[in-house]
Amino acid sequence: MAQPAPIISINTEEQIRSFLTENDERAIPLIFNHYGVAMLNTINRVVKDECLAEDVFQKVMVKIWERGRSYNAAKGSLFTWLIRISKNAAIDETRSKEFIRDRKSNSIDNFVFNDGAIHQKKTQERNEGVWETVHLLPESQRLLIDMAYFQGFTQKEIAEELNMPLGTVKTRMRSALSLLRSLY
Amino acid sequence: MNIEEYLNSGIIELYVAGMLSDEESLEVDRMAEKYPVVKQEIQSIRASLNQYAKQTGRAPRPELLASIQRSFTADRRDTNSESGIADAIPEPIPVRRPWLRYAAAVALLLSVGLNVYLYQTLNSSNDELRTLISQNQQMAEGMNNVQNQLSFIQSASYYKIPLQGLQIAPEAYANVYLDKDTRDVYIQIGDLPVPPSGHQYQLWAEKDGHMHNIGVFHHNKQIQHLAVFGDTFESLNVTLEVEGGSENATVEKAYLSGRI
Repeated sequence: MAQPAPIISINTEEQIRSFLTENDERAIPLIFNHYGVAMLNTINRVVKDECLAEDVFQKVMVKIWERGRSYNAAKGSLFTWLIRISKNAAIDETRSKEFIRDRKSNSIDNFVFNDGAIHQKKTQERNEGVWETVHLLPESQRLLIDMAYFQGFTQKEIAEELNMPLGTVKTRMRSALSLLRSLY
Repeated sequence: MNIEEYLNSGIIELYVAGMLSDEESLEVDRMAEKYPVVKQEIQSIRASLNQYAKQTGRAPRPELLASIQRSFTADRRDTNSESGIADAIPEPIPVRRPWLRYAAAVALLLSVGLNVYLYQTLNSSNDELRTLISQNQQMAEGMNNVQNQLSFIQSASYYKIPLQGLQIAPEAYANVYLDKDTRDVYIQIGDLPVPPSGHQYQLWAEKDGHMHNIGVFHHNKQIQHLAVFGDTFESLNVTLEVEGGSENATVEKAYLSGRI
Protein backbone atom coordinates (compact mmCIF):
# COMPACT_ATOMS: atom_id res chain seq x y z
CA MET A 1 0.00 0.00 0.00
CA ALA A 2 1.27 3.48 -0.82
CA GLN A 3 2.50 5.59 2.08
CA PRO A 4 0.07 8.41 2.93
CA ALA A 5 1.26 11.84 1.86
CA PRO A 6 2.20 14.16 4.74
CA ILE A 7 -0.63 16.27 6.08
CA ILE A 8 -0.44 19.79 4.69
CA SER A 9 0.47 21.90 7.65
CA ILE A 10 0.03 25.60 8.02
CA ASN A 11 2.42 26.59 10.72
CA THR A 12 0.10 28.22 13.21
CA GLU A 13 2.75 28.17 15.92
CA GLU A 14 5.12 30.22 13.79
CA GLN A 15 2.35 32.68 12.94
CA ILE A 16 1.44 33.16 16.62
CA ARG A 17 5.08 33.62 17.52
CA SER A 18 5.57 36.37 14.99
CA PHE A 19 2.35 38.12 16.06
CA LEU A 20 3.51 38.01 19.69
CA THR A 21 6.90 39.45 18.80
CA GLU A 22 5.30 42.24 16.80
CA ASN A 23 2.74 43.00 19.54
CA ASP A 24 0.00 42.15 17.08
CA GLU A 25 -3.30 41.37 18.79
CA ARG A 26 -4.22 38.84 16.15
CA ALA A 27 -2.16 36.41 18.26
CA ILE A 28 -4.98 36.30 20.83
CA PRO A 29 -7.80 34.63 18.82
CA LEU A 30 -5.26 32.29 17.24
CA ILE A 31 -3.99 31.11 20.63
CA PHE A 32 -7.56 30.89 21.88
CA ASN A 33 -8.78 28.76 18.98
CA HIS A 34 -5.72 26.60 18.64
CA TYR A 35 -4.55 25.98 22.20
CA GLY A 36 -7.52 27.21 24.27
CA VAL A 37 -8.97 23.75 24.92
CA ALA A 38 -5.71 22.43 26.40
CA MET A 39 -4.94 25.62 28.35
CA LEU A 40 -8.37 25.89 29.92
CA ASN A 41 -8.35 22.21 30.78
CA THR A 42 -4.88 22.46 32.33
CA ILE A 43 -6.11 25.29 34.56
CA ASN A 44 -9.28 23.42 35.45
CA ARG A 45 -7.21 20.37 36.36
CA VAL A 46 -5.67 22.46 39.14
CA VAL A 47 -8.49 24.73 40.30
CA LYS A 48 -11.36 22.23 39.76
CA ASP A 49 -13.92 24.89 39.06
CA GLU A 50 -15.02 25.78 35.55
CA CYS A 51 -15.95 29.41 36.28
CA LEU A 52 -12.76 30.10 38.17
CA ALA A 53 -10.77 28.35 35.42
CA GLU A 54 -12.20 30.82 32.91
CA ASP A 55 -11.15 33.75 35.12
CA VAL A 56 -7.63 32.38 35.42
CA PHE A 57 -7.52 31.69 31.67
CA GLN A 58 -8.34 35.33 31.04
CA LYS A 59 -5.48 36.44 33.30
CA VAL A 60 -3.18 33.97 31.57
CA MET A 61 -3.95 35.47 28.17
CA VAL A 62 -2.98 38.91 29.47
CA LYS A 63 0.25 37.47 30.89
CA ILE A 64 1.05 35.81 27.59
CA TRP A 65 0.47 39.08 25.83
CA GLU A 66 2.79 40.92 28.22
CA ARG A 67 5.51 38.29 28.08
CA GLY A 68 5.10 37.38 24.41
CA ARG A 69 8.42 38.93 23.44
CA SER A 70 10.30 36.98 26.09
CA TYR A 71 9.27 33.61 24.67
CA ASN A 72 12.35 31.74 23.49
CA ALA A 73 11.74 29.04 20.88
CA ALA A 74 15.11 27.45 21.63
CA LYS A 75 13.85 26.49 25.08
CA GLY A 76 10.81 24.53 23.90
CA SER A 77 7.64 24.80 21.86
CA LEU A 78 5.11 27.58 22.18
CA PHE A 79 2.58 25.02 23.40
CA THR A 80 4.83 23.91 26.28
CA TRP A 81 5.37 27.56 27.20
CA LEU A 82 1.62 28.29 27.15
CA ILE A 83 0.82 25.22 29.24
CA ARG A 84 3.55 26.13 31.76
CA ILE A 85 2.14 29.65 32.21
CA SER A 86 -1.39 28.26 32.52
CA LYS A 87 -0.36 25.66 35.09
CA ASN A 88 1.64 28.15 37.16
CA ALA A 89 -1.15 30.73 37.11
CA ALA A 90 -3.62 28.07 38.25
CA ILE A 91 -1.31 26.98 41.08
CA ASP A 92 -0.87 30.64 42.13
CA GLU A 93 -4.63 30.95 42.19
CA THR A 94 -5.01 28.00 44.56
CA ARG A 95 -2.59 29.74 46.93
CA SER A 96 -4.61 32.94 47.01
CA LYS A 97 -6.55 33.79 50.15
CA GLU A 98 -9.88 33.92 48.30
CA PHE A 99 -9.36 30.44 46.88
CA ILE A 100 -8.52 28.92 50.25
CA ARG A 101 -11.50 30.64 51.85
CA ASP A 102 -13.91 29.50 49.13
CA ARG A 103 -12.60 25.95 49.21
CA LYS A 104 -13.31 25.72 52.91
CA SER A 105 -16.95 26.59 52.36
CA ASN A 106 -17.38 24.22 49.39
CA SER A 107 -17.67 20.47 49.67
CA ILE A 108 -15.42 18.18 47.65
CA ASP A 109 -18.42 17.05 45.58
CA ASN A 110 -18.52 20.41 43.89
CA PHE A 111 -15.05 19.86 42.50
CA VAL A 112 -16.18 17.24 40.07
CA PHE A 113 -17.97 18.06 36.86
CA ASN A 114 -21.65 17.47 37.56
CA ASP A 115 -23.96 15.23 35.56
CA GLY A 116 -26.31 18.09 34.83
CA ALA A 117 -23.69 19.88 32.79
CA ILE A 118 -22.88 16.75 30.84
CA HIS A 119 -26.55 16.19 30.18
CA GLN A 120 -26.94 19.76 28.99
CA LYS A 121 -24.06 19.34 26.57
CA LYS A 122 -25.55 16.15 25.19
CA THR A 123 -28.82 17.94 24.52
CA GLN A 124 -26.88 20.65 22.74
CA GLU A 125 -25.17 18.07 20.55
CA ARG A 126 -28.50 16.60 19.51
CA ASN A 127 -29.85 20.01 18.70
CA GLU A 128 -26.89 20.84 16.55
CA GLY A 129 -27.28 17.64 14.56
CA VAL A 130 -23.78 16.40 15.26
CA TRP A 131 -24.87 13.82 17.75
CA GLU A 132 -24.74 11.06 15.16
CA THR A 133 -21.00 11.46 14.51
CA VAL A 134 -20.18 11.75 18.17
CA HIS A 135 -22.31 8.73 18.88
CA LEU A 136 -19.98 6.59 16.76
CA LEU A 137 -17.51 6.87 19.61
CA PRO A 138 -18.31 4.24 22.23
CA GLU A 139 -19.57 5.80 25.46
CA SER A 140 -16.56 4.56 27.45
CA GLN A 141 -14.11 6.20 25.04
CA ARG A 142 -16.02 9.48 24.99
CA LEU A 143 -16.02 9.54 28.76
CA LEU A 144 -12.26 9.09 28.83
CA ILE A 145 -11.68 11.83 26.23
CA ASP A 146 -14.00 14.20 28.06
CA MET A 147 -12.37 13.57 31.41
CA ALA A 148 -8.81 13.89 30.10
CA TYR A 149 -9.20 16.73 27.63
CA PHE A 150 -12.18 18.78 28.76
CA GLN A 151 -13.17 18.18 32.36
CA GLY A 152 -9.88 18.78 34.10
CA PHE A 153 -9.24 15.32 35.49
CA THR A 154 -5.66 14.27 36.22
CA GLN A 155 -4.43 10.84 35.14
CA LYS A 156 -4.62 9.66 38.73
CA GLU A 157 -8.18 10.88 39.12
CA ILE A 158 -9.23 9.15 35.91
CA ALA A 159 -7.64 5.92 37.13
CA GLU A 160 -9.53 6.19 40.42
CA GLU A 161 -12.81 7.26 38.88
CA LEU A 162 -12.80 4.51 36.23
CA ASN A 163 -11.18 2.00 38.53
CA MET A 164 -8.25 1.13 36.25
CA PRO A 165 -4.47 1.08 36.71
CA LEU A 166 -2.58 4.27 35.88
CA GLY A 167 -0.74 2.57 32.99
CA THR A 168 -4.03 1.52 31.43
CA VAL A 169 -5.22 5.16 31.41
CA LYS A 170 -2.35 5.98 29.07
CA THR A 171 -3.05 3.13 26.65
CA ARG A 172 -6.82 3.69 26.75
CA MET A 173 -6.32 7.38 26.02
CA ARG A 174 -4.31 6.39 22.98
CA SER A 175 -6.94 4.02 21.60
CA ALA A 176 -9.77 6.47 22.33
CA LEU A 177 -7.87 9.18 20.49
CA SER A 178 -7.09 7.00 17.49
CA LEU A 179 -10.81 6.22 17.17
CA LEU A 180 -11.63 9.91 17.52
CA ARG A 181 -9.16 10.69 14.75
CA SER A 182 -10.80 8.20 12.42
CA LEU A 183 -14.04 10.15 12.92
CA TYR A 184 -12.78 13.74 12.70
CA MET B 1 12.96 2.99 21.76
CA ASN B 2 12.38 3.40 18.02
CA ILE B 3 10.10 6.08 16.66
CA GLU B 4 7.18 3.72 16.08
CA GLU B 5 7.32 2.60 19.73
CA TYR B 6 7.55 6.21 20.82
CA LEU B 7 4.44 7.14 18.83
CA ASN B 8 2.58 4.17 20.31
CA SER B 9 3.70 4.81 23.87
CA GLY B 10 0.77 7.13 24.62
CA ILE B 11 3.06 9.99 25.64
CA ILE B 12 1.95 12.28 22.81
CA GLU B 13 -1.69 11.97 23.87
CA LEU B 14 -0.71 13.06 27.39
CA TYR B 15 1.41 15.88 25.98
CA VAL B 16 -1.50 17.31 23.96
CA ALA B 17 -3.71 17.10 27.06
CA GLY B 18 -1.10 19.15 28.97
CA MET B 19 -0.73 16.29 31.44
CA LEU B 20 3.06 15.96 31.32
CA SER B 21 5.57 17.65 33.60
CA ASP B 22 7.68 20.49 32.18
CA GLU B 23 10.67 18.22 31.65
CA GLU B 24 8.60 15.54 29.93
CA SER B 25 6.96 18.13 27.68
CA LEU B 26 10.32 19.56 26.70
CA GLU B 27 11.47 16.05 25.84
CA VAL B 28 8.47 15.66 23.49
CA ASP B 29 9.37 19.07 21.98
CA ARG B 30 12.89 17.81 21.30
CA MET B 31 11.54 14.66 19.66
CA ALA B 32 9.13 16.75 17.57
CA GLU B 33 12.02 18.92 16.40
CA LYS B 34 14.05 15.86 15.50
CA TYR B 35 11.30 13.73 13.93
CA PRO B 36 8.70 15.43 11.72
CA VAL B 37 6.42 12.42 12.16
CA VAL B 38 6.13 13.25 15.88
CA LYS B 39 5.27 16.86 15.08
CA GLN B 40 2.69 15.66 12.59
CA GLU B 41 1.15 13.30 15.14
CA ILE B 42 0.85 16.16 17.67
CA GLN B 43 -0.79 18.44 15.11
CA SER B 44 -3.16 15.75 13.95
CA ILE B 45 -4.30 14.83 17.50
CA ARG B 46 -4.78 18.49 18.34
CA ALA B 47 -6.75 19.11 15.15
CA SER B 48 -9.20 16.25 15.78
CA LEU B 49 -9.63 17.26 19.43
CA ASN B 50 -10.33 20.86 18.46
CA GLN B 51 -12.78 19.68 15.84
CA TYR B 52 -14.51 17.40 18.35
CA ALA B 53 -14.59 20.22 20.90
CA LYS B 54 -16.14 22.59 18.40
CA GLN B 55 -18.82 20.16 17.28
CA THR B 56 -19.83 19.07 20.75
CA GLY B 57 -19.81 22.44 22.51
CA ARG B 58 -16.75 21.56 24.59
CA ALA B 59 -14.51 24.31 23.19
CA PRO B 60 -13.94 27.43 25.33
CA ARG B 61 -16.96 29.76 25.04
CA PRO B 62 -16.61 32.40 22.31
CA GLU B 63 -17.84 34.98 24.86
CA LEU B 64 -14.66 34.30 26.77
CA LEU B 65 -12.56 35.39 23.79
CA ALA B 66 -14.68 38.52 23.42
CA SER B 67 -14.17 39.31 27.09
CA ILE B 68 -10.40 38.79 26.80
CA GLN B 69 -10.25 41.10 23.80
CA ARG B 70 -12.28 43.72 25.68
CA SER B 71 -9.87 43.59 28.61
CA PHE B 72 -7.01 44.25 26.21
CA THR B 73 -8.67 47.33 24.83
CA ALA B 74 -9.38 48.57 28.38
CA ASP B 75 -5.75 47.95 29.36
CA ARG B 76 -4.52 49.98 26.46
CA ARG B 77 -6.82 52.86 27.36
CA ASP B 78 -5.52 52.82 30.94
CA THR B 79 -1.91 52.83 29.81
CA ASN B 80 -2.55 55.76 27.51
CA SER B 81 -4.13 57.93 30.20
CA GLU B 82 -1.49 56.94 32.75
CA SER B 83 1.33 57.96 30.50
CA GLY B 84 -0.23 61.43 30.34
CA ILE B 85 -0.89 61.42 26.61
CA ALA B 86 -4.31 62.98 27.24
CA ASP B 87 -2.76 65.84 29.26
CA ALA B 88 -0.16 66.54 26.66
CA ILE B 89 -2.70 67.41 23.96
CA PRO B 90 -2.49 71.20 23.38
CA GLU B 91 -5.53 73.44 23.68
CA PRO B 92 -7.35 73.68 20.36
CA ILE B 93 -6.71 76.83 18.35
CA PRO B 94 -9.92 78.88 17.94
CA VAL B 95 -11.39 78.37 14.49
CA ARG B 96 -12.84 81.36 12.71
CA ARG B 97 -15.25 79.36 10.57
CA PRO B 98 -17.30 77.16 12.97
CA TRP B 99 -18.93 75.20 10.10
CA LEU B 100 -15.51 73.86 9.24
CA ARG B 101 -15.28 72.36 12.67
CA TYR B 102 -18.64 70.56 12.19
CA ALA B 103 -17.71 69.41 8.71
CA ALA B 104 -14.42 68.06 10.09
CA ALA B 105 -16.30 66.27 12.88
CA VAL B 106 -18.71 64.70 10.41
CA ALA B 107 -15.85 63.67 8.13
CA LEU B 108 -14.02 62.17 11.09
CA LEU B 109 -17.10 60.24 12.20
CA LEU B 110 -17.63 58.93 8.68
CA SER B 111 -14.00 57.93 8.48
CA VAL B 112 -14.16 56.16 11.86
CA GLY B 113 -17.31 54.36 10.75
CA LEU B 114 -15.67 53.33 7.49
CA ASN B 115 -12.59 52.10 9.32
CA VAL B 116 -14.67 50.03 11.73
CA TYR B 117 -16.57 48.58 8.79
CA LEU B 118 -13.39 47.80 6.87
CA TYR B 119 -11.78 46.29 9.95
CA GLN B 120 -14.78 44.01 10.51
CA THR B 121 -14.79 42.99 6.85
CA LEU B 122 -11.09 42.20 7.10
CA ASN B 123 -11.65 40.14 10.23
CA SER B 124 -14.47 38.19 8.71
CA SER B 125 -12.43 37.60 5.53
CA ASN B 126 -9.59 36.32 7.67
CA ASP B 127 -11.98 33.98 9.47
CA GLU B 128 -13.36 32.75 6.16
CA LEU B 129 -9.85 32.22 4.87
CA ARG B 130 -8.94 30.19 7.94
CA THR B 131 -12.08 28.08 7.54
CA LEU B 132 -11.29 27.53 3.86
CA ILE B 133 -7.72 26.53 4.65
CA SER B 134 -8.92 24.06 7.24
CA GLN B 135 -11.57 22.65 4.86
CA ASN B 136 -8.95 22.36 2.15
CA GLN B 137 -6.72 20.47 4.55
CA GLN B 138 -9.51 18.07 5.42
CA MET B 139 -10.32 17.52 1.75
CA ALA B 140 -6.67 16.84 0.96
CA GLU B 141 -6.56 14.23 3.73
CA GLY B 142 -9.83 12.72 2.50
CA MET B 143 -8.53 12.55 -1.05
CA ASN B 144 -5.32 11.01 0.07
CA ASN B 145 -7.30 8.26 1.82
CA VAL B 146 -9.39 7.67 -1.27
CA GLN B 147 -6.28 7.47 -3.44
CA ASN B 148 -4.70 4.97 -1.12
CA GLN B 149 -7.81 2.85 -1.18
CA LEU B 150 -8.06 3.11 -4.94
CA SER B 151 -4.51 1.97 -5.53
CA PHE B 152 -5.08 -0.85 -3.10
CA ILE B 153 -8.34 -1.96 -4.68
CA GLN B 154 -7.00 -1.78 -8.22
CA SER B 155 -3.92 -3.79 -7.44
CA ALA B 156 -3.90 -7.09 -9.32
CA SER B 157 -2.24 -9.04 -6.56
CA TYR B 158 -5.42 -9.28 -4.47
CA TYR B 159 -8.50 -11.45 -4.64
CA LYS B 160 -11.57 -9.42 -3.91
CA ILE B 161 -14.36 -11.18 -2.04
CA PRO B 162 -17.52 -9.07 -1.77
CA LEU B 163 -19.54 -9.70 1.39
CA GLN B 164 -23.31 -9.19 1.17
CA GLY B 165 -25.70 -8.29 3.99
CA LEU B 166 -27.73 -11.18 5.41
CA GLN B 167 -31.28 -11.16 6.79
CA ILE B 168 -30.28 -9.22 9.95
CA ALA B 169 -29.00 -6.24 7.91
CA PRO B 170 -29.75 -6.65 4.18
CA GLU B 171 -28.21 -3.29 3.22
CA ALA B 172 -24.89 -3.98 4.90
CA TYR B 173 -21.83 -4.74 2.77
CA ALA B 174 -18.05 -4.95 2.90
CA ASN B 175 -15.19 -6.31 0.80
CA VAL B 176 -12.41 -8.60 1.83
CA TYR B 177 -9.08 -8.47 -0.01
CA LEU B 178 -6.77 -11.44 0.10
CA ASP B 179 -3.15 -10.97 -0.92
CA LYS B 180 -2.39 -13.75 -3.43
CA ASP B 181 1.22 -14.08 -2.33
CA THR B 182 1.37 -13.26 1.35
CA ARG B 183 -2.20 -14.35 2.19
CA ASP B 184 -2.72 -11.14 4.17
CA VAL B 185 -6.41 -10.48 4.78
CA TYR B 186 -7.79 -6.93 4.67
CA ILE B 187 -11.35 -5.80 5.17
CA GLN B 188 -12.84 -2.71 3.59
CA ILE B 189 -16.01 -1.57 5.34
CA GLY B 190 -18.82 -0.43 3.08
CA ASP B 191 -21.83 -0.10 5.33
CA LEU B 192 -22.28 -1.78 8.68
CA PRO B 193 -24.68 -0.89 11.50
CA VAL B 194 -23.04 0.61 14.62
CA PRO B 195 -22.61 -2.35 16.98
CA PRO B 196 -24.18 -2.14 20.44
CA SER B 197 -21.84 -1.11 23.23
CA GLY B 198 -19.44 -3.88 24.26
CA HIS B 199 -19.74 -5.66 20.91
CA GLN B 200 -17.58 -5.90 17.85
CA TYR B 201 -17.68 -7.53 14.42
CA GLN B 202 -15.56 -10.58 13.72
CA LEU B 203 -14.56 -12.17 10.42
CA TRP B 204 -14.61 -15.96 9.99
CA ALA B 205 -13.54 -18.34 7.22
CA GLU B 206 -15.86 -21.30 6.76
CA LYS B 207 -14.61 -24.70 5.63
CA ASP B 208 -16.44 -28.04 5.85
CA GLY B 209 -19.04 -26.50 8.12
CA HIS B 210 -16.44 -25.12 10.57
CA MET B 211 -15.83 -21.45 11.24
CA HIS B 212 -12.18 -20.36 11.65
CA ASN B 213 -11.42 -17.03 13.28
CA ILE B 214 -9.67 -14.42 11.12
CA GLY B 215 -10.02 -11.44 13.43
CA VAL B 216 -12.14 -8.69 14.93
CA PHE B 217 -12.35 -5.23 13.39
CA HIS B 218 -13.69 -1.71 13.95
CA HIS B 219 -16.94 -0.98 12.14
CA ASN B 220 -15.87 2.59 11.32
CA LYS B 221 -12.34 2.22 9.99
CA GLN B 222 -12.33 1.99 6.26
CA ILE B 223 -9.54 -0.47 5.57
CA GLN B 224 -8.04 -2.76 8.17
CA HIS B 225 -5.47 -5.48 8.05
CA LEU B 226 -6.79 -8.46 9.98
CA ALA B 227 -4.42 -11.42 9.76
CA VAL B 228 -2.44 -13.72 7.55
CA PHE B 229 -4.70 -16.66 6.68
CA GLY B 230 -3.02 -19.44 4.74
CA ASP B 231 -5.81 -22.05 4.65
CA THR B 232 -8.35 -22.50 1.91
CA PHE B 233 -12.00 -21.79 2.68
CA GLU B 234 -15.45 -21.94 1.13
CA SER B 235 -16.94 -18.71 2.39
CA LEU B 236 -16.22 -15.68 4.55
CA ASN B 237 -18.66 -14.51 7.20
CA VAL B 238 -19.01 -11.62 9.60
CA THR B 239 -20.79 -12.05 12.91
CA LEU B 240 -21.44 -9.74 15.84
CA GLU B 241 -19.52 -10.84 18.91
CA VAL B 242 -18.57 -9.48 22.32
CA GLU B 243 -15.75 -6.92 22.29
CA GLY B 244 -12.41 -8.62 21.70
CA GLY B 245 -14.02 -11.47 19.75
CA SER B 246 -15.29 -14.99 20.49
CA GLU B 247 -13.79 -18.42 20.10
CA ASN B 248 -16.86 -19.76 18.32
CA ALA B 249 -18.94 -17.84 15.83
CA THR B 250 -22.44 -16.78 16.91
CA VAL B 251 -24.08 -17.79 13.64
CA GLU B 252 -27.49 -16.41 14.61
CA LYS B 253 -25.82 -13.00 14.54
CA ALA B 254 -24.27 -13.31 11.09
CA TYR B 255 -24.34 -9.96 9.30
CA LEU B 256 -22.35 -10.57 6.11
CA SER B 257 -21.33 -13.47 3.94
CA GLY B 258 -19.44 -13.96 0.66
CA ARG B 259 -17.75 -16.62 -1.49
CA ILE B 260 -14.53 -16.42 -3.42
